[in-house]
Amino acid sequence: MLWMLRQKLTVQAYQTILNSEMNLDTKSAEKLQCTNYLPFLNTTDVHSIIGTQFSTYDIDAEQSDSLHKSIQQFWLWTAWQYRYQQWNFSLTTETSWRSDKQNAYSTIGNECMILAYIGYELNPAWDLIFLGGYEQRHMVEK
Amino acid sequence: MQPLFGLQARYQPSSRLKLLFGVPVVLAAEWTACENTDIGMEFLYTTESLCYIRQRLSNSVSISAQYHGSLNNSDATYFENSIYHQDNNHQITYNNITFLQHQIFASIDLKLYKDVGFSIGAGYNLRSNMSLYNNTNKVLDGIKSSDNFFINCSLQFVRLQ
Repeated sequence: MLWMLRQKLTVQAYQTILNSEMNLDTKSAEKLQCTNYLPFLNTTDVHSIIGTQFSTYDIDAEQSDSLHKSIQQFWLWTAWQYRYQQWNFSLTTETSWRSDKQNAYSTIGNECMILAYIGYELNPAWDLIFLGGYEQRHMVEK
Repeated sequence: MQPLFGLQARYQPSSRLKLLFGVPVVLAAEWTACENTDIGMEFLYTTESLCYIRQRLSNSVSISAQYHGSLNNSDATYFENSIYHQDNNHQITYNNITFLQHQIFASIDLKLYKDVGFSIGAGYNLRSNMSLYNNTNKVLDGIKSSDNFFINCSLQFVRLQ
């Protein structure tokens, strides 16, 4: 299976890929999260997967006059892997958008991240993994 | 644009032990302690940490108990610079928020057929702390959220080898 995915899932603590996940809070904190991972393009040399997530959550604090926010977030993640002999080349992209429901769905921020992984298999027991990329955050002033 | 770099090493001395260390994952490990029992943990230098124990009852059924801890930080632009507190006609504006959430839950994982699985679980969000900071990074306010139960179900189509 995808080497890069193992890397991603290690970040997520070796959890299995969740194709559909729902997390509902039943008390004061209103939060809904739905995550999907699907195989996207798989050939002999190239493997890829696409992930989406939609979440809403409310932040409400009695001790602050202004901190009553209802945030929506959409998250898109793709992963691509190519393996050549003992080398693994992987690329992941992450993009997310946020909006505040209380402000007529105006966009208040978006983020973009691109990460490239280069892994080298020293032997069956050891792998070295170098990763590098860029992160960009953008906020919209009202 | 903010550059990101990291270096990881993955070491699997046997089929019963997997280790990953470096940055951003400081240490992640999964150890098959007994024939059907797995113990795992992960610690990231940034935002998340967790540990779990999983018992495989058969080839198609397993149960697990997990702990998650996550630290979230948002600056004021995230909230359109509108985070403030009115106190005796004096308005204080906050510049960032830090939110620490602990979570425990248990789940049952079922393998339906081949690469398709299903899991269902329930958990508890422990009382969490939220801190607000001003320009000098001094904590101006501390907020505790309510604790609450949650349910979780998932359908899994891709299985890791």
